[in-house]
Amino acid sequence: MATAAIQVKDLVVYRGGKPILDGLSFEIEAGTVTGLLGPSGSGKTTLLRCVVGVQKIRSGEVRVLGQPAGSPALRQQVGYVTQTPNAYGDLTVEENVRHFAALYGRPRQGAERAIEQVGLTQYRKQRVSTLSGGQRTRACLACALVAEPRVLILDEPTAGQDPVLRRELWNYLKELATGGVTILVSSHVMDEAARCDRLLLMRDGDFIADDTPAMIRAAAGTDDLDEAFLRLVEAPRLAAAVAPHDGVPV
Amino acid sequence: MTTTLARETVPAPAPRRTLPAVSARRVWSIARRVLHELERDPRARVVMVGTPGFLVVIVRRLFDSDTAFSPTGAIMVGIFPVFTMYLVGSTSLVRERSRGTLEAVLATPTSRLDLVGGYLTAAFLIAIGQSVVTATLAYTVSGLQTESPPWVFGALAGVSGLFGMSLGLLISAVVRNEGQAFQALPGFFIPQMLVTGIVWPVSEMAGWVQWLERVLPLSTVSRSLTAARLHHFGGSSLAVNLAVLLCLIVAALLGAAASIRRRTA
Repeated sequence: MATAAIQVKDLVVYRGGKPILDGLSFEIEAGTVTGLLGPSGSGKTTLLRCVVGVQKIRSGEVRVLGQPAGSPALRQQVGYVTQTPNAYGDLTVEENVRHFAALYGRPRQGAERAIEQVGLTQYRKQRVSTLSGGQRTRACLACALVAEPRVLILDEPTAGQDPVLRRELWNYLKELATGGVTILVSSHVMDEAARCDRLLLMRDGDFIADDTPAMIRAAAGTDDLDEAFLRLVEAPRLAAAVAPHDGVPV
Repeated sequence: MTTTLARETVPAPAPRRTLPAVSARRVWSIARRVLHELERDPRARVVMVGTPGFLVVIVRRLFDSDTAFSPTGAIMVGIFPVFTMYLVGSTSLVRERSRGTLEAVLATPTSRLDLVGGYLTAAFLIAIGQSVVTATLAYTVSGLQTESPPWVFGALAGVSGLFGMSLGLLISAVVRNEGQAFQALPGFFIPQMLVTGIVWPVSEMAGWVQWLERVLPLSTVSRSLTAARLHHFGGSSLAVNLAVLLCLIVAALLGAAASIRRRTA
């Protein structure tokens, strides 16, 4: 088995004196789409920030593409879309993506292609602050895609978007993965996660399930992932079938 | 109308070179971004260009003659960038911190040197631009008389801009929002301005005020400008004050760079 794209071992993170993540371990294979699901406050954003390398860690190890998370060599290869839009509101879509192209050391033409990939070509000369919520997320996504990253981390990219846009986004992520990009995306909407290769269900800083959507549905005895999550939380005996196996995928 | 995401095969990843720690391209892109954001804000344009120009013309009326105005005028031509660049630096970086764009930028290969370099480059360019307006008005409309040629004042204004920007970057680490950044104006800058001889000559002030003037940071700027006015290319007074000013700038920048952290809690 080749080295996993993302390796997390015994990760402990404290914020404000309280443990947010307490000894998490998992690995993610390259070229897969992994969904990180859980209610608000479960630690999803903190975990994603650890993988990107912008989170202070108390102990544990996070390795991306074989190197420590956040190391300079990785920063060209990891794209990050934050929960709050991380583009400059007063600048146009084009100016934003070109700016990030310069920061990532990618050629300027890459900006046009990234904008095209997210379907914002006709809005490229519009200021980001005047875009709708969904369009703004896609602008931020273009800023990350212009890096041509091998690992893409997205924090709740579908928040506040309509079902059509959400489905398109998840389809698009799947296509990126087919091209070899490793994708870790978080959400608190369970249903759209059905397209992931693997789901990590998180609650209070710990994983209650780590498996494919099909297995999780089977273990919980329901097709509705929302319902599945609730059943797994309430009945630990059911969760044992899909619980994390010391960080090694099933 | 729904727009669809383009269905395109993802190209194979391009080969990666290791990027250097500081890059001119990144520095310039950040400077351009700061300039663009300012350009989009009409109030900023007024504050930056209109107000200093207006003041240079109006304040001349407070004096009886060109020679009486020149001590004040020389300082005015070079000192505005300290305040305006302080405001640009502090508000811009505070906004970046609160909106999360700083975190997004630090997740890229951008280094702290790139960031600071970009802001300073923008400050230098804006300061020079601002001084062109104020100097033109001061020399033509207000009859400013100086021993040194105008471009010396332009260059000093550029350095003032660097000073203001470095203070702005430093203060952004301790303030929570743009409003608090503005409070440094009456708290820190204006008291110094009153003492540095822009309104009354330093020699006519009380002894303890003169002593205070010798140690305040803003005095390095006003003294440099006065030296440039009195002597051709300023002489030793300009050299000494400029040296101290540059040390202050470096100290402020080191503090600012230390406050920009890639990993946060």
